Amino acid sequence: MGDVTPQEVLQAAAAAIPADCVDKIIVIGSLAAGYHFFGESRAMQIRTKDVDCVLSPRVEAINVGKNIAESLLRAGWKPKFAGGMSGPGTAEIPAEQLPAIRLFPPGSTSWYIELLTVPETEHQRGREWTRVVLPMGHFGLPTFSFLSLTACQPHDTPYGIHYARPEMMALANLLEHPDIKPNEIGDVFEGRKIKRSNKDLGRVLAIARLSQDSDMQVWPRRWEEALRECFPTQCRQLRKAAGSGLRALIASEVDLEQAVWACNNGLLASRPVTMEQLEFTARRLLQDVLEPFEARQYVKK
Amino acid sequence: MSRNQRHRFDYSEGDVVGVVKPRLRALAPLRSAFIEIASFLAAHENSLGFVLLTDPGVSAARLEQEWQNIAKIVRPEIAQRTSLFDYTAGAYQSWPPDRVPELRSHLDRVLDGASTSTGIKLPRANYFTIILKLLLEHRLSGAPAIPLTAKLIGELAGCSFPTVKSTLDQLTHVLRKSPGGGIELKRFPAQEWQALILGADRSRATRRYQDRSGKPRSTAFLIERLANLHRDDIAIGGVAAALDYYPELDLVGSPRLDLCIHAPGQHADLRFIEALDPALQETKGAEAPVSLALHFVRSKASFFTDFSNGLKRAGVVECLLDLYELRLPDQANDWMNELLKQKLDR
Repeated sequence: MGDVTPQEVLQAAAAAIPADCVDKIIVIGSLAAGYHFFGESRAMQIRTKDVDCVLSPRVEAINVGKNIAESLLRAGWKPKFAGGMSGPGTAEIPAEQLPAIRLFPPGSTSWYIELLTVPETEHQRGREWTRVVLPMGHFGLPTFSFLSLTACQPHDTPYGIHYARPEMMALANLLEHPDIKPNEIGDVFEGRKIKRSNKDLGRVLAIARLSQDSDMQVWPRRWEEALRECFPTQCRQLRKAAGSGLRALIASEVDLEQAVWACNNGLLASRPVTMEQLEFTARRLLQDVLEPFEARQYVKK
Repeated sequence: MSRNQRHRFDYSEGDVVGVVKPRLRALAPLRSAFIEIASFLAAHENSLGFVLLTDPGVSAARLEQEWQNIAKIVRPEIAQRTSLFDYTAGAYQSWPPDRVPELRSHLDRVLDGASTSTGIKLPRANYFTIILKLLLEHRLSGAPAIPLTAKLIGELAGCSFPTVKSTLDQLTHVLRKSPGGGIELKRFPAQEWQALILGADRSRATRRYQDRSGKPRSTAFLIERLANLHRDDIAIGGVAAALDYYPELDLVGSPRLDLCIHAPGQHADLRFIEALDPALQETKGAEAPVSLALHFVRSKASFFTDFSNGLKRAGVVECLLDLYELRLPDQANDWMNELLKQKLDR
């Protein structure tokens, strides 16, 4: 996997997607963050291979996902199968065991598009799958508990496609990991296995590190608005636990080291950090953003 | 960095570690403190840990509930070695309820300000230096035309009459009676000023802080953060204040923020440093890039004046000493000459 410029990948992905679907896609993950912070800077290339595309709104997700996949396959894009799968599923296979829709662009395996969607309700926990039937077989459209946050007030691009606000991706990851879970990433990540929680919480810290202090001052208020919109009945309890995973991360040397590894092989590849530096990034985030958010102290200002 | 070093406790003495939370208003920082302590105790089986709250804005009932929650989530052998204390109106309350006698000496030491990482015990004040700076401040700042009598000098410096007299006796060669019946400098005490510059580091008990995040915050950000703390015992010094006094100064700014803290007593509470930026850590290294320098003003009067945004500005003498310490002697001399000229022009 080579280094890619976020702007080039985003532009290529947007150009390949049917015009009537582009507006319903929000790119998330390291590409979205990379585009936001580095744009077209060649000096700030990031290492990513997946272009995670969230389809929103949910009611249109299956049709939009089907249109996009069929259009790309017709244009010569090739499906990528992982986790021991070598082809699409069938009607007999449960949705949660179907392959995700992952497509390589023609003539390249350096990056691929992956389709996801937002949850149907605020009460979903964990990962759920929705079946999408394509001419070549059955696929799954995954969603995660807090993906709906990434669809809140996304940024526009000149290419029609949207990308998630970095602070919303950070909040989704914080809420997804109120503690450090033992499960490791399925694929080997840059040559080693690391816990999913450490990678995702490391992403939160990378975003914080790349953000301006002045921009971060508005995060608590934006987070509150997004929680009220996406989780109206759970807003208070989610807010109160928002920083617990990060506190657990910096209390464990083993976990913090994995987060550093993930950062330095991802968003911070151009500006690698030490453990101490990432720990202080976390302490700043806790003090300046999470503690006011958890206590709603920013409301008084 | 070792595991021990990564835990940052306000108190550490023998096998006892503690976190101090003054005026706690929300429970999240308390949970954070307990996670830090529990993590440390898990790796140090003979240690005890405590969180001490001083004047918390959280009710005892909520603290009791929080303690119960914490006791449930940590392992019993760690919960047994962990305590929560509330110190309000001169009395301790503890959870579990019987812990005060066992840790009383440690708690008292925390409140006394000694042995903590956030509070320091200052060296004895040097009143010769304090009085010399006071006379210079009076001369350079265009202080009100109040006669600077020995009695007033004693009140402003915070020392006894014999101490004032002894100091003035050593400075007779540069002093004269002022028209109003007080004492003033008859000429600039160049030799004493040089000694003051050379000894400033020691007389001001300067502490230096380095950014450890690898992403230093701007002085403007730190100043804004200081304004939010509403502390009138801390003043802006250094380049920022010098430019405020004398905008013609040949400087555009500095990557280092100089602050003066008014500390007429023996102790100073430095917890505000973490509130400014948790990535600021004290450094003793001479070559380390410094983000913040903190100087202690030991006189009874601070000589702080109003700065922008509700902040205070350190006295002229402190700011001049900052410029010399920043190795900006040309700018300091330029400003000094201007001050002396203005004064003579009156």
